[in-house]
Amino acid sequence: MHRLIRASQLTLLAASLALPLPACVDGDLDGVKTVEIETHVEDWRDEVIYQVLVDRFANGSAANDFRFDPSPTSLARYKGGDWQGMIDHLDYIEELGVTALWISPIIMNVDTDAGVDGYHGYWALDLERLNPHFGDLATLRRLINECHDRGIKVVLDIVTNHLGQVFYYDINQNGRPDESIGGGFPLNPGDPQAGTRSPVTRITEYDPDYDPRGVQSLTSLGEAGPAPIRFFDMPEIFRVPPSPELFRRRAAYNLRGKVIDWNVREQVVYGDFPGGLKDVNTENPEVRDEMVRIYSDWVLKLDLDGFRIDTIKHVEHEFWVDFSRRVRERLAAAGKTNFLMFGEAFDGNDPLVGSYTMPGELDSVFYFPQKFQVFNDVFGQGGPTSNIQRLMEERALNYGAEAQPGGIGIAPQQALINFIDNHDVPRFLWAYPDERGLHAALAYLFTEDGIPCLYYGTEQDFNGGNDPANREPLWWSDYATDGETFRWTARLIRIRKTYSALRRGTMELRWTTDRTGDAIDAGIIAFERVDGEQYALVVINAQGEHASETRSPEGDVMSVGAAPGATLVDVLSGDRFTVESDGTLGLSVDAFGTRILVPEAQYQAE
Amino acid sequence: MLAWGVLACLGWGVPPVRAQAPDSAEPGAEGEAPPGDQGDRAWWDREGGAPPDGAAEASAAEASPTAAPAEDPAAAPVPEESADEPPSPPTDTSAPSTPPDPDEDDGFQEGFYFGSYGRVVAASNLDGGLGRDSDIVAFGPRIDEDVYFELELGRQDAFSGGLRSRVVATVAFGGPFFHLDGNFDESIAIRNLFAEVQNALVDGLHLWAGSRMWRGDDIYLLNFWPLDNVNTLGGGFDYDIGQTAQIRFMTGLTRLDDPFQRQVSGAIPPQGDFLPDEVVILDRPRITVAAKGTWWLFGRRARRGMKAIVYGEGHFLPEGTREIEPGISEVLPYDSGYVIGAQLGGWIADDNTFANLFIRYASGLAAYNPLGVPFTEGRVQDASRARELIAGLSANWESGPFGLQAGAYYRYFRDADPAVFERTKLAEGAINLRPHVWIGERAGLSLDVAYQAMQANQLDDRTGQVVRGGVTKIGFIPFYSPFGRGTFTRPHLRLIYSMTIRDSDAQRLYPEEDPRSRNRVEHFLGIGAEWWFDSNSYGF
Repeated sequence: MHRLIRASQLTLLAASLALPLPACVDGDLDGVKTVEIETHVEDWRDEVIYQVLVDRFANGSAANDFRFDPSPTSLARYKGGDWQGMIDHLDYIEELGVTALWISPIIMNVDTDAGVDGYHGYWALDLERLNPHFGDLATLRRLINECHDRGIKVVLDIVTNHLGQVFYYDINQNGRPDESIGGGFPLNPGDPQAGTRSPVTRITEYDPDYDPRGVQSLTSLGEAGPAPIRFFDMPEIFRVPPSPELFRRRAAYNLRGKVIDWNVREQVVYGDFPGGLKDVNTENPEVRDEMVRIYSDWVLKLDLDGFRIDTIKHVEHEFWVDFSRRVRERLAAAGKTNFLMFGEAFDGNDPLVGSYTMPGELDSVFYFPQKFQVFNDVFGQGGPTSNIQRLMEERALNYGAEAQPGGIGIAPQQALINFIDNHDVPRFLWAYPDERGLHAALAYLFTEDGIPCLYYGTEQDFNGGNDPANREPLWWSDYATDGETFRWTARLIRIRKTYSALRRGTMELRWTTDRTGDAIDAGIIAFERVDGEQYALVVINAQGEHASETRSPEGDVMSVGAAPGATLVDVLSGDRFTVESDGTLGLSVDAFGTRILVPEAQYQAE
Repeated sequence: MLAWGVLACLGWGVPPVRAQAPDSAEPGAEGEAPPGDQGDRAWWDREGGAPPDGAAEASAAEASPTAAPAEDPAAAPVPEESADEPPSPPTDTSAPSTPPDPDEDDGFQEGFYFGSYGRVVAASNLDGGLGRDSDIVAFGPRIDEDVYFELELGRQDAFSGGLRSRVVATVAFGGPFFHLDGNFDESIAIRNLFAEVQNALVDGLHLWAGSRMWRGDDIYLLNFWPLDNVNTLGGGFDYDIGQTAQIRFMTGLTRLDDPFQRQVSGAIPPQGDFLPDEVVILDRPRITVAAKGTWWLFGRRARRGMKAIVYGEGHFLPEGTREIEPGISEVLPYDSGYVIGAQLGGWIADDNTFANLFIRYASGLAAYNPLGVPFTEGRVQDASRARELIAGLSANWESGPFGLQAGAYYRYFRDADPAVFERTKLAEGAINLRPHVWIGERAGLSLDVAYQAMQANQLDDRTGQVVRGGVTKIGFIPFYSPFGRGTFTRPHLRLIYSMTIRDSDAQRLYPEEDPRSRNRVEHFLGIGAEWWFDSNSYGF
């Protein structure tokens, strides 16, 4: 018995060694083990969004520097940026003054394809797993928590239109992907050459051309029905059947091949995105359910504040109505409201872009028409500022005038996402290499109505051209905060924060012009922002050749809403101006200059 | 908690038992030779697996283990790097845990000898597949372990003045064996290959040089050497201070065939040749130094005894330069680390009863076994951030037809990565109890009960919950022992049944594609044998 007791003691001793098991690692997870869902935004117009390509922002952890290329060339490869790097550089972000981060997609991507990596995040493989190149869930939660602690919101980039190149169409049914198959496939019966000779057809099974019937398989005898799809089995580069399981079924895809005519709406919606990105069948109710579930879950797992949604014009409107409503409902039930959903329709067609903000759809969209017609044509090329007038008039017609039910509480017309450039277009300074022009554009970006969005690196005068040259690692700048553009940007953001009229005020144009070149008012854009008693008058000269004035060659002078006799102070220069007794205000603005005028009583020295 | 454990153990008096080699070192009489086998945990353990030993052992130390359930080739607890290591572990060896036999002479015999450790098992999962290891920790219960064996050849000579010498060569083999997979090929490794001179210069001083598994006591049930387990090429000495103390010292090097320590490139010859010359760009062996002091409180061969051990290691890795892509190099900085550890043990030889309590702390490079590579992913260049704390227990009690073996360990490991949250930062542990009863003099029945758990410093992407898991194993082992009673008598012929029960967290440790991610319960029904005899690797 005595020995049995001793044996029991032994057992207890052993058990005691195993007991402290969980305790030791728990400490590090404090603060990230659970998430408190809260609404962090009062009015999205108060926010300044900063677009970050995670892979290019900062490399905070060498632990995930795997399958990457640290060299300063080959910008199409992973470069090492991660969420830890963002945590490490939140001071930089805070000093810049932006208040919301739009981070590139977080989910696991196909790692590499044809010499290009999925560093950007738009090649989804597993919608429920994180991309290990960027870190893990705990680190991401820590990033978001620290952002929220600093008053910075986080917007996640998501894609519902397509996955990465996760399968190929086995057109010749030989069980392997062929870069180029060819041979004497008979032509369609209607083809005049049919039967007269043996044609040669070149097809890539990775990314075949659009076929409204669905991509067809071919044998030497001709078409042989819908082409089988075969998923890749290359786990070493994250190229395996996608997840969740639904996306391993044919029914989850449209299977029509690559878009070849962007003017054909059917192709745009049902075709694969060039590069072999497989178009998801968003009309399938199961797919919709999964998209709602998965992306709502990410919000609830991370306490996100918004979605930036990729390629929305490639998805049918009905999806957005359904998706938006259900996501809003689910989040609201969990305590998250004011959740911003804005989409990317990469198109200059204003009615098309605006169509995604119609009742029941998204809160906002990227204002691409403005990017092309104002930032490029006006600020970049010295075009007529009347472009702005025209766009504003069209905005009333093309964009939603009522806030979306359960949305951010602001009509899309007042909440458009304004941007100068982004990761899909050449940087402003590449196309228009004059920093003064960029500064003028920034002035407009941060004073016009809507929600400004700044692409990382703009503050560092990055000037990369087409993708991927426009995705420079930010560490090339050494995160300098004393550059002229950085300081100008930070100053504009501070001014925007100071004067509520610049954030929430209505916007009324006071001066634009068709005139360009040497005209006295060439490049002048003048508009008022009014938020209750708060008033601001912004006058920008969008051309860099000469100073311009708010008057016409005929002598007409700009009239303003400020009371006659009122003194307005330029918050940038401290200059004072008095509104004439007839309500006009004539003033001069240097080439690419800006004046932001506020009533003397509202003026706050910086 | 640990303090309590230490006190409890100290106050114990130690269970009773029959005796045998104190430290696993001694071979013990044939047939009842030491148990303890070495940390062969890795590849023969895991299908598809990685190399044995080094792995295994290394595994502990090495990084990461864990990450995923053992045995999973892809996600096994054993560090990935182990896959490139040479097979290894011995296994047998020693009896780390077994007590000394006061009545036994040192067993020295001149001439050639042959020894072996081995275990072979054929098992089914009762679902049409092979039975396999289901551990989720680096050193899980061994009931469902895989095949492994060693052949040892030696030569011993005695000279005048008490001078003796021996040469030991141990070849290890890992499965799967030809009769299973049909491949006329096996994984082979040279483990021991050293010569030793005993009583050299002064009485009690033993010098050795060569390739050697340098180990102390193990936790047999977990197949784990929690304190000292150094496998290198080098040399050292043991110095016996009478029957009450011993000092051991060794130094050795390892230079793994891995870009962390070695990189070879091609270059155009200076002149007159078309074929490229081979250029060794990176070549930085790790130097390991280890020292161990043992004090037997009541003498080394006391019938009721205790021993206290202090232990330390130093690890040193010179600076090196490697090429990360043509034309671009990076400097891998000088790296180092240390281990401090202790062991407290006691035995009652007549009852073949003993208990050993281990504690070990490793820092920096030393948190990785010499056969382990700190980094296989990422570009962390030094191991200074790594830490490891291990506490372990091994015990055996026998009385008449009854007996009880116990093994347990706790391990806290942080790898060298600066990232705070990772699967390679973890805490894990296991406890394994194996009571047995003899039915007659040569047959017996063991009940094997074990629990293992791990928790990583990471959250699960899908659930948002902490990555962790727990596995319970319950097994029965009817066995036949021609040498009769005794926990460590061998050979044993066995039937083995083990049922693994995973909690839902443990299931999530496996990839979705792995059936184990869906199977809460897994069976292991096998027939096998285990033996050891004259396996002197750790003896003398």
